[in-house]
Amino acid sequence: MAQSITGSTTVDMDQTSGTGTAICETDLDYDAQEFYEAWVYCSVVDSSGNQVAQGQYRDADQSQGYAQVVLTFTATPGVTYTATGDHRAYLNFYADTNGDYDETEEYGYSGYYDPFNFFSFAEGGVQSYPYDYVWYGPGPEEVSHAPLLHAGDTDDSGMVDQVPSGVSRQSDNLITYTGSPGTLCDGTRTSGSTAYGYQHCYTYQILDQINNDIQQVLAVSETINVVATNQSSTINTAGTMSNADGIFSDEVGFVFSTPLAANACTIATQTFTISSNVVRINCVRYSATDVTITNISGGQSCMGTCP
Amino acid sequence: VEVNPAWVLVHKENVMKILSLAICAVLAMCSQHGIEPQASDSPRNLEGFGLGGLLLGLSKQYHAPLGYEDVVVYREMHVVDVQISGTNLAEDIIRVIGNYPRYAALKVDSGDLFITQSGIPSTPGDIPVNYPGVSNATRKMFWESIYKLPEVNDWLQANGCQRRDDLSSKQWRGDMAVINIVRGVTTLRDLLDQAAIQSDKHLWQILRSQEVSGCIISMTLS
Repeated sequence: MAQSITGSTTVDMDQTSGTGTAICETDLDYDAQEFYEAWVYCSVVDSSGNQVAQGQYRDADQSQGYAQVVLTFTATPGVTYTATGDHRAYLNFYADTNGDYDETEEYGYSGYYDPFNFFSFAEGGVQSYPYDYVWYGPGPEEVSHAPLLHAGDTDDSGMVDQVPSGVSRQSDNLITYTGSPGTLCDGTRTSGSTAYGYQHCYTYQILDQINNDIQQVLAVSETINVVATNQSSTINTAGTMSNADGIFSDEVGFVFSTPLAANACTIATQTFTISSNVVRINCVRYSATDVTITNISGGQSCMGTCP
Repeated sequence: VEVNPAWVLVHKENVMKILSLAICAVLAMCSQHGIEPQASDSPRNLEGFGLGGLLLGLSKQYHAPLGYEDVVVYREMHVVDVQISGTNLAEDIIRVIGNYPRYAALKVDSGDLFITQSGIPSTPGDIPVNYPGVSNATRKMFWESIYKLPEVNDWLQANGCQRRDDLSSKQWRGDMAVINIVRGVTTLRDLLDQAAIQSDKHLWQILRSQEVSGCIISMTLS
């Protein structure tokens, strides 16, 4: 259809590189190109309203028939970025006192010639539309006092997903058991009439790909693989859920109904997996009295033997 | 020292497949014996610490109840890597057992399959116990119920053994109150088996080991 301005805004987020690309474009149809130049302003803001990128382009002398701005920006995972395209038609031509179009500034100048009355879209406030929109010039011809006619805005949003990529230990509370029943990390009491050993109560914060906290409830899968042991050690594989802050608890230790030998030993790997992503591999070395945990997520080995 | 077989218990619904496989090996009639795929994974490596670790992997892979009783020397156990089909439990059990020549014999008893090895000290799995019964019990509640059985304690005393129970909380995580076992005389093995099935924890183990402090009996349901 003739006499139109088309505006569009798209946001694409590269989940791998964490880069966002916003494209804002203003297109004039064939008829409109005769009297107007395409103009666009593109702005990207984060979810706090901070501007992270902006750009402007005017298709001077109607050489292309459209104006486009391409912005790239580094995105923080978990943050929503919104691009807004401001679509305008730029008036080059002057109108005389009769409102007739005149290519040169002649005697009797009155304003800018707006043959399709695109100015009317800005009256009463500029409207914004998602993705793209076509404004059809309603006419009749008008004379504008400003050369830049704001047809309207379009917008689009995108986000780089937070990918669980690591954990950081937040706290460590050690409980020891020397014969009497006691309280376990989860607050319950030990079964039976005796308890020996120790238990570390850890909490972990789930981190994303740039080590920012992920504050979501997520399922955490834990896999334990024993490498060596010299005593019965039912090291359990378990699953749990993080809380809304992305924090989950873990218990590591020996708690048994009978005393452990002084040389009690178990070596095991402990793997945390969240949303199919292995976020931490620990090498856990249990002794009769304590445990050492080493982060081997970088591919270090967890070898050893027990006496 | 009393001697008994070590056991790997496979439930009867899987027995025919194992027997079929055994027959297949002789008659090359595998395709006619209905060995149906039970899991979607393709051939893969199964890694586990000792036979118990491998059986645990199989029980999870196939979501199949298994029981395992044995006498073990923990410090001599190591990580074993076995290639399994991932599609046939019977075949994969035989592959796993193949890494342990002492578990060669197959024995069918009451419809269930036992893979046995004779000539080792006994475990308390087959002693008769007068079980008081539990209803809507969690695994932890069930554990506490068998902890108190006098027949088990008598057996431990008579055999110079101690029970070593894992008391950590992690093992009970996600527990549901789903175990219902009626009062009656049965065996510890059967009790563990019922609890394993009902709680959807599919490998139970009774392991006997000789440690510095003497004979240790550990029972797990994982």
